[in-house]
Amino acid sequence: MTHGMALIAENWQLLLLGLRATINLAFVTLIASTILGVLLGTLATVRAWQVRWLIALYVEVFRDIPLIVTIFTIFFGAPYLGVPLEPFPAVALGLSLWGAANGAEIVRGGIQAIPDGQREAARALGLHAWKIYLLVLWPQALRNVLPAFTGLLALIVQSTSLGSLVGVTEFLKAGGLIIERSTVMQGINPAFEVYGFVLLVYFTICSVLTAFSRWLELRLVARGGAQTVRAPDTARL
Amino acid sequence: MSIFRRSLAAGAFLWFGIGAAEAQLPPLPATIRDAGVLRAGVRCDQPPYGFRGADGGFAGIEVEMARQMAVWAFGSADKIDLQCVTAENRIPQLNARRVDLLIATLGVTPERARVIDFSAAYRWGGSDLLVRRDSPIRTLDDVRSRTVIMLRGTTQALWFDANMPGLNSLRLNTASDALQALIQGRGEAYAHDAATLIVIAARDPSLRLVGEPFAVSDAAVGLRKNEPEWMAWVNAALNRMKAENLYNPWVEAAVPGDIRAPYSAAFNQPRPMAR
Amino acid sequence: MEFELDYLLRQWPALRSGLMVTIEVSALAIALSILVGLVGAGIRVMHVPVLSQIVVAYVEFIRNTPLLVQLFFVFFGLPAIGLTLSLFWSGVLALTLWAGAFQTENLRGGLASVGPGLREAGRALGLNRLQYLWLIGLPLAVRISLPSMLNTGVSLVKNSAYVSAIGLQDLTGVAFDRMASDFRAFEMLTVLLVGYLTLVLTLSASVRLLEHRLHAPFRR
Repeated sequence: MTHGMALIAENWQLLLLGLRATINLAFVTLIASTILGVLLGTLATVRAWQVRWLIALYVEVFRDIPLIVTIFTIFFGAPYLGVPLEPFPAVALGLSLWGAANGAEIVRGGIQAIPDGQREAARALGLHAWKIYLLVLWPQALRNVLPAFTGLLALIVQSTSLGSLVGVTEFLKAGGLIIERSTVMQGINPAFEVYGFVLLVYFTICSVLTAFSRWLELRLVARGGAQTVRAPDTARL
Repeated sequence: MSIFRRSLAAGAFLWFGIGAAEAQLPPLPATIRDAGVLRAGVRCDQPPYGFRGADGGFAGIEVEMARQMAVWAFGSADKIDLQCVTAENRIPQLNARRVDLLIATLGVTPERARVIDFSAAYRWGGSDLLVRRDSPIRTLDDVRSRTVIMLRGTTQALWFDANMPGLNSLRLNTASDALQALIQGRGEAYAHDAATLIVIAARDPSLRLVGEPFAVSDAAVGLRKNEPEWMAWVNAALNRMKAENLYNPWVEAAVPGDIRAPYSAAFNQPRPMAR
Repeated sequence: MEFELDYLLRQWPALRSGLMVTIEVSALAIALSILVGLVGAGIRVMHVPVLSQIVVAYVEFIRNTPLLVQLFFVFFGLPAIGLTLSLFWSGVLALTLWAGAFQTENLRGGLASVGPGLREAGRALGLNRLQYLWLIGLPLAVRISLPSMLNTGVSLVKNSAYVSAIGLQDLTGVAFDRMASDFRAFEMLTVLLVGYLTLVLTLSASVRLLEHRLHAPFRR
């Protein structure tokens, strides 16, 4: 047990490197998911049913296919399409497409939670479609979806661990490398301590995000106004 | 002769020597030269070819080959970007352009030749089975009714799929996972390159090799398809390593004397026949 | 980029056995996770002193850590403390623990919806808390939570793909293994995309149908 702990302490630089990659990956994914998610979620509330149907199709596809399959498809498939993607961009793209699907659902829920009266009043005042969104719907919706997006960030941080399977040296992979070295070179297997440590670090980061998300929800509900949107259930990963 | 003159003479010798040697290798392709470093995929879990040294850095015979190529290409062994690859992801990493060549215990097989190009072979390698010392397994056929551990995407996986299709096989991702699985009793035999198993068996008296060679193949450098200039350079570099007898000192550095013979044979002697 | 159909047909036996493994692992894990959920929700609702806190910690831990790391811990880490499970059972255990946390929450929500009036009636009839749970509370809670429990089940089927990372030859595992040996990524990935979409959509549709039927008496 102590050998495992000592190994973790000795390799703090490698672990920190992995953690940085995890955080980088999570932020790139969050930004891409938010932008794309807001776009798609907004489009999911327009009157044209064809557009809404297309968005629903996208969301369904990317939430139903296992994330591991999405990432492998992009990583293994991209070279065949003539676009060689290195591991980090491939994982970022895969996670972003999935994150955007979840983001779109959140934003759609956020916009639809706003009472219809708002939209009607805006139209009565003579505002055009996109101005309605810009001035009336988005400011309210985006404030309401903040807790849900924070929850989504916790899920994104967790899903970056898939990068280890295609060669991104993120936090989980860093732990794996330590175990590998110790097993082959010294014959000792510290997997229990190292993976236990990895779990604890993820738990610390994500439970802070989850707690923040719950706090935001309480604060926004206390302020009144439209209902906040719940964070996507981890089960619907 | 004073030290100054001696070093001047030595410098002149080296200068002309390097100049003459450089003349032996064709020019580097522009894309490789522009990268400024040699981006090579190597194994990190397969002693003695590619593994992590005591200081945690890259070590092994194939790693030395990569470093030598960096010297010849860019003038210094430091102008190198080594990337750990596994049997499962090495070819995708090459095609994704994360690395420019693979010196990663890559066996020549027709399936792989469809998606990448192989250089001339620089050595051959056979396979073997690692079992616990008290195991009843004595021959290759003894494993037919048992669970065999192997790595995804290796020549052993291909061989067992072709020759023992109904076999119960446990397919993991790295040599350390496979070794752990064997020790934990999740499988009765671990099939991999003999070269790696010999080193592991030598280090662990509770394990032994079955010793019946099978799945012998050439090992070559892996390159992306349609890169003829790069292929020419790599082949010339491999020829030069052979001509200047560079493999032997690397083998001596990576492998202890009592088990050195098979490795020298792999580099210096022709490939034998086996199942 | 050619799509070789006869390659795919030759691989069909291996893929079909992979699909069987996916179904076996998922079915076992769903059943066991529901048991875990029943026990966990019961403990929470009865406010059992130490166990309640443990259940809360368990649920929080599972929801805030990646399933992949949980799986690696079960398969690679547990042997160090003497618990060496086979590949198959490691996968089942990890998926059960993961889904069990969500089933606990689903059932807890269901139990909370069972009106206080019923609890009082139970007490009036002389039932202690355990008897109330077993005879009235949990059966009703299961009916109320069935949709969310089944949705968790569908997610479990989808996330069972993770077991390929430890080498279990489920549908994803077989496909990745073939890809590593034969390099036919296009064919294999197509099978995976179509396979999982079909599985998940069919199961989701069945859940919605069941939900619809369950609501029938309340719609008149």
